[in-house]
Amino acid sequence: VDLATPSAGYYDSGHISRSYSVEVSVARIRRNGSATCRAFSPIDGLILSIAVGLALYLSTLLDNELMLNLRMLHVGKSPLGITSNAFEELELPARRIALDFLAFLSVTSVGMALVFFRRPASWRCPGLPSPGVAATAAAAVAVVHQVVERLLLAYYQNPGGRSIGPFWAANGWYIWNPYDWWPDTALYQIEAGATGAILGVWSLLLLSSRWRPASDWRDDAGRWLGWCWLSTLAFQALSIVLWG
Amino acid sequence: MRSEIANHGTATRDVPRRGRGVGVFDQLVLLIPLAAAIVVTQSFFQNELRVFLIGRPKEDWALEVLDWMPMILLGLFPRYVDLLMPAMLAIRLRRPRPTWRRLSRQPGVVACAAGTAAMAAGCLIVAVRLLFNSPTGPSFDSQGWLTVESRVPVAILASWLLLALSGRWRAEPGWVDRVGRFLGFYWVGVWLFRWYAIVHIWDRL
Repeated sequence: VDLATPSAGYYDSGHISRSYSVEVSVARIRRNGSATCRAFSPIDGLILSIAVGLALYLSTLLDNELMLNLRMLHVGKSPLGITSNAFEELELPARRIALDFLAFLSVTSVGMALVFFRRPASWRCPGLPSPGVAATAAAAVAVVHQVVERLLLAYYQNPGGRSIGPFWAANGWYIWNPYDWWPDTALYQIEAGATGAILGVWSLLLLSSRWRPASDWRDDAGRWLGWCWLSTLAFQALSIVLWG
Repeated sequence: MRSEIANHGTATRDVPRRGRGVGVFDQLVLLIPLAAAIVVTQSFFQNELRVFLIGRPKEDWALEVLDWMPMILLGLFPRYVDLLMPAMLAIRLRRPRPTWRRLSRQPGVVACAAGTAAMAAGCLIVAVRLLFNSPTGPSFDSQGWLTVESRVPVAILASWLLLALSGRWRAEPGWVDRVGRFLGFYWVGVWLFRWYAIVHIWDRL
């Protein structure tokens, strides 16, 4: 609404009341917008850097573990009938990157949720949140839930590893081995939880016609995170098509 | 008041708050999951339950039934629920239906929509495996069903949590929403049982 250039007859009584209500609405949107769209602070950057650093570290640890057992992922029988050597050689690196990416996304989701919701003001959410914020919250909760479940499984299925000390003292990094519960590996369980949660909240937003991306760095980053999680699902399907 | 809404609004707004009864088309839609359930049940008893019971000593029939119950409740019943969720969503979305605004506040509809979306993701992977005859991919047996179901409880929990936290939970007293809520609560129950099993049952094995 262009409030600066009123058309002819704008100052009729009806138009005045209408323009007043529009001005009030615009002011309300601006006020709410400034309250919710907070700027990216240095502390946010610090938390995100730590999360990304941790995510990269975990991906490296996982990658080292993967390198020992990488051949287990090899299928080598393309359903499309492609027998090119270069194509076949692409299989293991692609699967390796996909698993590393899952570990990276898992930690990054929790870090992003910490940044988004570290202030109590961001917990107040009148109505439904924007898709990016909803996806980040859902993914982080799902990742934490799945990790706690994995830790409990490791604790209760390994009686010898029980102690009053921390779990890593008993089991070391063994619990992060992706082959522990083959073929339903820990990472794929986390992926299933995160993608399921994102699909759940996004389906609710779409059903209620409230898919309204906000012009906010939090929402942009959150939507990217959501699509990254869903892309892992697409990669699973694509890898079956390409390599079996 | 209602006739006023019907005169001025669209026909879809003229749906009573208690929802509609079971129509012929609803019954026809429900026949699809029923037919699929018969096939699924036959396959389950032929392939999976028999494998489960091989090598077990013959016991009293009552004990055998008790032995079967967890397999039925956690192995077969989720498949019925899976088949019913898209059907209930289709029935709910059929006209005349409430406005989208009202629909999105009904927990039963939200559960069915979230469950269907999550199942669609799992079905995509299983369908690709079946279509491309992957050597790693199983047929549509227990492993395939696990893939289909793996995202459903979390999807329903996440959508219900968002619905409740945003203060939009408005349950409708009609049968469609009630059935949807029952299906949603079933998955919540399965999720709770899973946690109980992790902490208590495997502890005693």
